[in-house]
Amino acid sequence: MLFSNPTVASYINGNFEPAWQSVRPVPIVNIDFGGDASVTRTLHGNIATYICNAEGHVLDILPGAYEAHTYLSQLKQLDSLYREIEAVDNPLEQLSKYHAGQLAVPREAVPLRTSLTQQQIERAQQAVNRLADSSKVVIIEKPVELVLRGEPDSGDIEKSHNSPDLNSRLQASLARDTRYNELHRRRQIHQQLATANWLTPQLLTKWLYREVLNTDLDDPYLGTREVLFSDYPFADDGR
Amino acid sequence: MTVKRRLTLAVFLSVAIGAGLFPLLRSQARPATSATNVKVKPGDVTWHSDFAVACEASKQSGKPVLFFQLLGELDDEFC
Repeated sequence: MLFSNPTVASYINGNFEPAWQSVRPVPIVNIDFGGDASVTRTLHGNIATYICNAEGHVLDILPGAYEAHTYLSQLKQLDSLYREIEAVDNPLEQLSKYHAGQLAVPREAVPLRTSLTQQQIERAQQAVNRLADSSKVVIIEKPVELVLRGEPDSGDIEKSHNSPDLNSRLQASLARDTRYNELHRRRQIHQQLATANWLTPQLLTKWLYREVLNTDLDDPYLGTREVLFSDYPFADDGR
Repeated sequence: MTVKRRLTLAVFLSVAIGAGLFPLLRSQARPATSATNVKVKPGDVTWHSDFAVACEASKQSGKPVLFFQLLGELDDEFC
C-alpha cells in the first residue's frame, strides 16, 4: 500500500493534514471451492488524492494509482502550489493560471521519474495509447469489467519476458497507470479547475469518478452490467 | 405433465426433504460464505477522522489538506 511506504507516509505526516473517505463499497469476489478452500479478492477500487486549502477548496487532484516516487514528487509540487496560492491577493486567479499553464505543457514534455527502462516505458506508452483510443471503459487498476471478462491486463507488459516475476509486472503495471494518469486523466482535471470557481471534493466526486476514473458511482454495477448479464441465460431472474 | 401432477410432486418433495428422507441433498446445501474483511492499519499515515477535521487542523497548522478517496475502506484488508 502506498501509505505504508515510510518515505511517503513521513512526508504526508510532516507536510499535510490528511483524511480519507470511502465513496462506496469496493467490489469483492469470493470463490468458495468447497471444503476449506476459498479465495477472496478485491477488484481494485479507483482512488483519488485531492489537495485542498483550509477552507476545503480543491487546488488539484492526483487521479488513480501512482508509483511512490512520482506520488511523492507530485505532493511536493502541490505543497509548493499551496504556498504560492496562499501568498497572493487573488488565490482563485492564481489557481486558474496554474491549471491553464499545466494544460499548455505538451504531453510529451510531462516529466516522469521512473525506475523502468526506456523499452518498458515505450511499451507502457503503446498500451496507454491503445487504451486512450478505446471507447470502452479504460483499463486502469484492472477494473471490474476486465476481471469479469477474464481478459489479460493490457497485454504487452504482462507478457514481457523482460519482467518475469510478479513484482516486476506489478511495477510495470503501476508505471503504466502513473503515466496514463499524468498524460490523460490529469489534463481533464486541469481543464475542470482552470475554468471553475472554488470547488470542493463533495462537488467534484461524482464527476471525477464518472468522467475521469470511468466509474459511475450511481450505477450499482459500476458500469459492468452489460458484461455481467449479456450472455447469462438467467439474467432476468437474478436482477 | 399436468398441473395436478406437478403440485403433487412439489408437495411430496417438500415433505420428503423436510422429513430428512433425502439427507444427501440437505448435506450438500451449504450456507453461502461471505468475504471476511478484517480491519487493518491504514498505512503509516496519521489520518484525521474526516475532511472537516482535517480542514480545521489546516487552519491551525498552515499545512494543506490531503484528502484521499477510494472504493471500500482504507482500514479494511480488501479495499
